[in-house]
This record gives sequence, structure tokens and C-alpha cells, in this order.
Amino acid sequence: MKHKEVDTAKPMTVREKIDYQNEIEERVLGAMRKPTPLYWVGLGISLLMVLIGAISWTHQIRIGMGVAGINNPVGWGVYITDFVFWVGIAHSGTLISAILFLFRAKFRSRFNRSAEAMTVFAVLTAGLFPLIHLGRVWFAYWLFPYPNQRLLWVNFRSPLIWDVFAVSTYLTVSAIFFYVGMIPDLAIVRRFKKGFAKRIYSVLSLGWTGTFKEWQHYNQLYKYLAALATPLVISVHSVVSWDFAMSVIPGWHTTIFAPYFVAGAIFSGCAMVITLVVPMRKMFKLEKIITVDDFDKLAQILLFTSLIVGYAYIVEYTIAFWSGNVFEESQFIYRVVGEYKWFYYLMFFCNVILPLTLFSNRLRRNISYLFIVSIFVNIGMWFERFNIIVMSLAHDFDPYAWGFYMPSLVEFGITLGSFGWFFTWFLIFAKTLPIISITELKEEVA
Amino acid sequence: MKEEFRFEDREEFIKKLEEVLASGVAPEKVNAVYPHPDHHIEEIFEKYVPKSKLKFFTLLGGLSGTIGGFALTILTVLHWPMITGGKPLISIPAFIVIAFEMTILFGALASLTGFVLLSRVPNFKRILYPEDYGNEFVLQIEREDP
Amino acid sequence: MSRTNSKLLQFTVVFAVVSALVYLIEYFIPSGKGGSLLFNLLFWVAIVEGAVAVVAAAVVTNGKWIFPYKRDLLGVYPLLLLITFLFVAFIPRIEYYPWAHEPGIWLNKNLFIIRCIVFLLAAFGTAHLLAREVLRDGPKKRFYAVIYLLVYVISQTSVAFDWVMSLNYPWYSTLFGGYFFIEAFYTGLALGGILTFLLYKQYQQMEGFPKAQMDMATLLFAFSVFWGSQFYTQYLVIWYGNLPEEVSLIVHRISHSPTRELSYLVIVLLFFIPFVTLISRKLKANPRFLLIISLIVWLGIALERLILIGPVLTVHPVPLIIEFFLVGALFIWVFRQRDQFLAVAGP
Repeated sequence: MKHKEVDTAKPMTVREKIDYQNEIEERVLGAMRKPTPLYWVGLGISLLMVLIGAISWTHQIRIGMGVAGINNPVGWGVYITDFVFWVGIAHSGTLISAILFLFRAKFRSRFNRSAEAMTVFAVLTAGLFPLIHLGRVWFAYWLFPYPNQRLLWVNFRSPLIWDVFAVSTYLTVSAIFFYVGMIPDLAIVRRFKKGFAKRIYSVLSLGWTGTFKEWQHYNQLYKYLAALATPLVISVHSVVSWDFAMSVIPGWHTTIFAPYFVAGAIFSGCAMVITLVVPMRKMFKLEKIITVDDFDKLAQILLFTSLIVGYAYIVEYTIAFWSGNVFEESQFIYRVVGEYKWFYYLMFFCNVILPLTLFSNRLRRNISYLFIVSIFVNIGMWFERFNIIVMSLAHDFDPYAWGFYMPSLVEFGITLGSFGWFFTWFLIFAKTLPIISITELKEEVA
Repeated sequence: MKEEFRFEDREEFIKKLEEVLASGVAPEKVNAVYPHPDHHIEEIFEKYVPKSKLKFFTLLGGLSGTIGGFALTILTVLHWPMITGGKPLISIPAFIVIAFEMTILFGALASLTGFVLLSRVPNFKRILYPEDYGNEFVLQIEREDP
Repeated sequence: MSRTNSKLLQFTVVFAVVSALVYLIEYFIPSGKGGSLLFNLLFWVAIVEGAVAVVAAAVVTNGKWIFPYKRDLLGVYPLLLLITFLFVAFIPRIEYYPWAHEPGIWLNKNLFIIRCIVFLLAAFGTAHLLAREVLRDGPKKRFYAVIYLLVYVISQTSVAFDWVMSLNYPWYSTLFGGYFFIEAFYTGLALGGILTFLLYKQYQQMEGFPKAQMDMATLLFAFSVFWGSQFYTQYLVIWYGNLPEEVSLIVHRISHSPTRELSYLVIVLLFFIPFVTLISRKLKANPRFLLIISLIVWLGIALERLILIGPVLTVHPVPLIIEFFLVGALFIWVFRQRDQFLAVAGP
């Protein structure tokens, strides 16, 4: 296929428009063609990781929670870290699809589909961890309020129950948003498929034709879903942060936690979008659709959220000493000189120092550099959650109750499995569904 | 009898659509098919047909979620009054979270229901026999047989 | 000497004179532990820094809606100088801060004075550069906007932590700085709402105006939600933790009249009224309504700040009102001359 630069900002002739629209269809749907060997290798590795995770979990269920490293005083370890990490990853999907939609940012149409898919899969991954952490996973339904013969109800004053509501709402709404946004595109896929595959996409596209009546209500629906998803995304990570902030543990109980977690979530999520889209763009030859400019905008969001996270780190420190509260002071001294200090430095470097380089226009527009930064940010954000959770528990009020925690092999296995599980879903998505919103790209040139 | 016009050019299509609607054809007899969301076409139509009523679904869903959320929390806690964590039984600050999440959940579900009811999607006939017009703009007018 | 600079020099002189006048009013009218000057500082610093921050944020995000408003919103920036002078007049009042007699490393009188003045002057300087660059559409406008926003965040955080939080020592809340710069942004947007009404005729002729107004109103709506969420976030953590040093601030205020009723009123003014009304597209398009909502927001902010400082530094109504109207008059005076100091050469 010929490479021809199309400037979507300039008015086009009718012919050019049609050519451009056909080309978008071809390029995006081209990604759905028969997978290359590389794809199968990737899928194989992901499935292997899932297998490792499944074995580890089975082992934990068979033997008991003792196989995990968590114990007194550190009762929340890697599982909760993974939970917060994956919920965080989910957040940028909704940011890019809903908030940027309301702000009418044009570059969103390049990333929204993959980001929304990422949201759904990340919440699916995150949702596993409270269950894994529960131990007796078969009683997980106890978390929901349902009428029972003993007339018992869940404790609605517990932040953990808020979490159940927040995460399940988030999964439902983001799945609806993902699917609704895809309906017109599925109708396009249907047009290109034959035989049984056509049948499947016909059902998935719900018989979409594109009549006025359909579009009229569809646009309203999309707008309202975006308007509902925006406060939702902020509330979900706030609720996650309140799992910690509602306690009185030094380092956890602090008012800035909610906005700080939300910013951190968007930060890590944007990094994950970059991590996923950069190879995808290369593999499926989408350089023409997803341009360097678009990455530049995403990198600016990354930088912005990094500044908020950095602000929160500094404020937390300042106030710990400002307040004169000995427990807070002790906790924050422990973070920089204690057993986990290297984790802390790593986190600070990845989340605050390294993203500062994105102030440079040149580096921001260098895709390989951006990719590397995004991986560091992912690592940094994982450690941020680890530091918050583990360090605060390992070093609370009473020096006789201080302890040390290191994850066991089972916890590593399950964490690895969660990455495999996430990437498996994403790889399947990349080959079965349109990875970029075709109709929205068409709308831009109209 | 069904008249059908197909256009590659959006501007021509819009001109024709305006012409047809202005000529006094009942708007429900006019059907337009277009390949991407287009606010301009909607604006033209909405001069003749009412705006989408979807917002009432969203509003009702949201409100029922808020009320349902407070009702669920308050009634269950009164049903088995047990103080935990030294908090009052009816802890509004805590219950706001539940009510908020349920507002969003019900609002989204009600909007989706509204969409299904209003736009007649899923369209079972079209699932079996899909109609595709590619990137064309199509205008269909149902005329009464003379 | 350019016209802008000579105008700024003129302002400096007038500001110095008025600040001296405020000093006389503050210290020679018997008014107990006067919090009136601090109240005025808190209220006007939010509006002035917030208005410039709105422009800076729109420049960074390439928001087109700022186009009709930017000139007028930037027209308030010289008042940052006035605030600096008023802060100098406030210096003797630092005695009343609970930490004044047992100073620490961070909270001691000299450092307090130096950093507050430095932050205020830095905000003025960056706002000055930003205004010049934005109005001549220079290549570095985004750069200055970023710098201004960084200074803005630091300055508002300092206002929150130093001016207000340390007044209520040992109460502390890490969100307080963020809460303040969101509030300041909210009041800056409200200034935009007021200008929509006052300069409606002029704006109507500008490119993309009705849409810009809609966006401005939508942002006002968004910030009412945002404010509500930040307020709730802060309240919830304090309520749930129930630690004596944290709840003291709230208990102190909601356990007796009239601060109790006023506290509830603040939530109504800053969250419920804008949230419920600004959902409607019709009301967003109505400039008169925007004026009312914006004034409600300003009133809410004013009341909130009064409640925050009132119980510690008693506020006497006479100096409060005289000072408020003095600063307000200067605000209008400077704003009306904006064409003279904002004028820039070139296209």
C-alpha cells in the first residue's frame, strides 16, 4: 500500500475523503488479518504466564494462605499492591475515552479503543486480587448485599464494601462504554467478513445500519455515558485510596490520598497505554493514523500527572514534619532510611525525576524514549503502591510490633500470572476487534 | 414505493436532505443513512423531528440509583442495628459513597435501556440480513403509492 | 520607559498609599485580634491568582474558549502587587499565630515573611511575563503559562498551609493546599462569569463567542463538582479517622451558631446551587444568570474563609467592610485601565 501523507486539518475534496476513509478501514481492519508467528509467540508466553499464575493460586488454595508471605503485622502485601496497580491502569482508559471526549481533544480517537479495552481487561485483572487475597474465594459472594435467611447485611460503613460497589460499577460501566463505542465499527467489520464470521459480527453489531434514528440516540447515549464515567473514574480510585486513608495508620491516614491516587492512576494508565500502543502501532503499521503529535499529547498528560504525584509526595513529607506528629515523622523517616529504602528511591526516580525529562520537546516526540519512560513509570507506580501499603504496615505505632515482609514465590507467581492474563486478553482483542475507532476518524475529515 | 438516493459527497447529500424535508414530506417517511456521527445532519433533522428523549432515561436511572443507594444502606442498617467502628448507625458521609456508585450504575444501565428502546437496536431483521452502504450517504423516502 | 512599566509604577505608588491607609485602619480602629486584613488577603489573592491561572491553564491546553476572555482576565494581574503590600501591612499580626512564640524551623517569623513575599512577587512577575506573551501571541506563551502555573500552585499551597492551616495549629490536612488552588481557580472562573455579563456586548462580536461562554459555564459547573468532591474527600477522611487534632477544626465550627449554619451555607453556595442550576443549557447561555452564580461562588468563598479564620482571629465588621471596599475599589480601578498596561506593540 502506498504511503501518502494526509493532512486531516486541510479541507479535502470528495475523492480524497473517500480514499482516506477507505484507507483507514483497510489499515485498521488490516490489523485483524491472519496473525504473524510473532503474535503466536506473544500469546504463547502470555498463556504460559497465566498457567504459572493458575498453578500458584491452586497451590495457595490447596495449602492455605500460609504460602503467601503476608503475616502480622504486614497483612496486606503484594496482592493488594497488584489490585491497586491494576485498578490504576484501568483509569486512563476512561480518562482518554470519557474526559477527553468531553474536552473535545482530537487526539483521543487514536487511543480510545485500545485504552477502553485496556480498562476492561485491567479491571478484570484487578477484580481477581481481592478474591485471591480472601483465601476462601468460594465465599466471595458474601461481599455483596443479598437477602439471606440469617437476615445479615454487609457493613456499608466499611471502605472495603465501598470498594466492592465501586469496582463492580466500574467494570459494568466501562464494559458498556467499550461495547457501545464499538457498535458502528463492528458493522464495518461485518461488511468485510464472509461466512460464519460475518454472522458473528452481525450479531455483535446488533444489526446496526447507520440510520438517522440510530445515530441520534447513539450520540446522546455516548455523551451521557461519558458524563457518567467521568465522575465515576474519579470516585473509583478515591474509594481505593480510602481503603487506606480511613484507617489511622501513619502514612495511610491522610486527606490528600484521594486526588493523589487518582492522579497516580491516570499517570500509570497513560504509561500503560504508551507501552501497549507503541508496539501495536509498529506491528500493524499504523504510523500514519497514530502520529508523533498524538503521542506528544499523551506524553503531556503523563508529565502533568507526574507533577501532581510529585507534589503529593512532597506535601506528604512536609506535613509529616510540619504536624509534629511523632508517628508520622517516624514513618516518613523510615521510608528513606529503612529496609525498603531502595524501593522508595526507585519509585521517586521513576515517577518524579525521570518524567521531568518530558519537559523537553525533543524527548517527548521521540517514540522509543517515550516507550522506555513508560515502562519505568509502570515499574515506579507498582513500587509506589508497594511502598505505601507495606511500609506503613511494617512500621506503625508500637516498635515492638514492627515487622518485615517479603513476598513469597507464590505471590510472585500470581503477580506474573496477572500480567499474563491481562496481555492474553489484550492480544485476543487486537486480533478480533477493530483497534482504532474507525467511525470517529471518518468523522474528523467530514 | 421507496425512492433511494445515494451520494458520495456529504455536501450534496445535505443539500438534498434539506430540500426533501423542506418540501413537506412527512419526516418519519424520510430515512437517512450515513457512515459516521454527524451533528450537522442531526441538526437538520431535529428541525422537523423531536430531540432524543434519552436524557429522561438517564435522569430517572440516576435518581433511582441515588434513592436506592440511600434506601439500601439506611434500611438494612436499621433492620439489624449494630454499631461498628464507633460510627453512628446512619452514617450519611459513608453512605454517600454507595449512593453515588449506584447513581452512576443505574444511570448507565438506564441510558443503555433507553437507547435499546428508542433506536430499535438490536434490529433482528438486520442481524439476519445486514444492510451495508459503505461510505455512502443514502437518502430513502417512502412515498405513498398513488 | 514603556507605557506598561510607567503604568505599573503608578499602580505601585497608589498601592503603597492604600496599603498604608489599610494599615492605619487595621491598627488604629480598635477591633480586637483583627482578622479583617487576613480575610481580605485570602479573598483577593484567590480571585487574582485564580483569574490568571484560568488563562494559563487554557493556554497550556490550547483551549479556544479563552479567546474572548483572556485579555480581561489578565487585566487583574497588577493587583498581585497590592496583595504583596497588604501582606507587608499584615506582618504585625503574625504575633497572633499560635506558633509565633515558640518558632520552629519552618514556622518562624522571618522565614514566614520572606517566603510569603517571595511567592507573591514570583506570582506577580510570572503573571506579568505571561500577560505580555499571551497578548502578543508570542512563541513562548506556553512556556510562561507552565511556569506561572507552577508558581501558582506553590503560592496557593503556601497561602493554605502558612496563612490558614498554621493559624489553626495543630490541625493539619495534606489536601489543604490542593483544596486552595482548586478554590482559587474556581473563583477565577467565576470572574469570567461576571465578565460575561458586564462585557456581553463587546464579547458578542468576538469570534466563537456563544460557544466560549458555554464552555466557560461548563467549566464552572465542572468545578462545582470538583470542589464538592474535594471538600467531601477532606471531610470524609477527617470524619472517619476521628482523631482529636484533626476533627478539632470542624467540631469547633459546627458545634455552635452562627458558624454552624454558615458552614452548611458554604456547601450550598459552592456546590449545590451551581451544580443543580448549571446542568441546564439554557441557564448556561444566560449571561445574567452567570453573573448571579458567579457572585454566589464568590460569596461562598468569602464565607468559607471567614469561617476558617474567624474563630481564631476575631473579625470586626467595621475594618472588614472598609478594607474590603477599599481593595474592591482598587480592583475596579485597575481593571478599568487594563487597556493601558496590557497594550502591546505589534500585531
